[in-house]
Amino acid sequence: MKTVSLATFVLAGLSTASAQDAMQEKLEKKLQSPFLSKAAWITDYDKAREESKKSGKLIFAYFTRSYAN
Amino acid sequence: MGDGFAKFSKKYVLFCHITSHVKDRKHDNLLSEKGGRGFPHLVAMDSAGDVLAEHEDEREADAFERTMAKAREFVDLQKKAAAGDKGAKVKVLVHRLKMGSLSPEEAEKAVAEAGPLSRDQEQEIQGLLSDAAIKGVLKNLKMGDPQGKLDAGKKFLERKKAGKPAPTGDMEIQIYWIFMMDYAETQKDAATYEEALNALKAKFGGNPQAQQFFKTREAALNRLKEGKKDK
Repeated sequence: MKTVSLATFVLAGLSTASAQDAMQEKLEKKLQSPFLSKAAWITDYDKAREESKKSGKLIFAYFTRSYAN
Repeated sequence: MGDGFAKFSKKYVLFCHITSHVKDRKHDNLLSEKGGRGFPHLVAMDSAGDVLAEHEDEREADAFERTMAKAREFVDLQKKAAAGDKGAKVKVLVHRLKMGSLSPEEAEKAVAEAGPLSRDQEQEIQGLLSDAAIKGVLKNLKMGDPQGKLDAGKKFLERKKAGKPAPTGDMEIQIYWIFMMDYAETQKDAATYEEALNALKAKFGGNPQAQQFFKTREAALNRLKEGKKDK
């Protein structure tokens, strides 16, 4: 019984790890989207705020997602 | 990218946030922190990350520019408020509550500091405080967490029992009453379930797309009432 439970947990762990790999892959693909290179989009929140502070410009923020196709 | 957007892009810092659901990724939950509930979500922010205006118009440069103009108007209003203009202070408070820029605790403090309010202002602010409280609970709620939803429903019921007003935003109204109903069902509390159902019907009963929802919930209410009779 213990073996079954352990196997279940291991499998669940593997499946979570593989799901996370897939999410990471999707994020990386999204970061390569052509629209991001057509203007000076910043994808790091801290850097965007820093740039706004430095330049005195307001931030125009666009929220999108990578996890869904 | 059109010429209009190229011109627009030079005037502002363009920030693209990607919600990834990658575990432990910094700021992955930023959309909900900024009051967004769906995609795409576009806003104007200041350098502190406070939302100044939400974009609700077409997705083209001229419309983006109109949103940024609203953001600049709000910046001016903040300056007046900082200079001591009481009317501006209340307007800033209402706006920040609408934008979800204040935590429930910050909001309560700001209302106390705003001084005497007109009846209309008081009513509007109390409703917005409830919206802020609901958003505060949602921020801490993880996706696919049924126990978390029940805990939130319990908190909403406690708010109601403490005499706090119901929220005013469409999304907040739905979450507030539906989570409360789900919690009431686990407690076999038919009275709360019915009250929540009636509140939703009063607001959304005329919506044809909601009819199946109401039918299912009516059936659940009847089961709860029958269960009570059996005891």
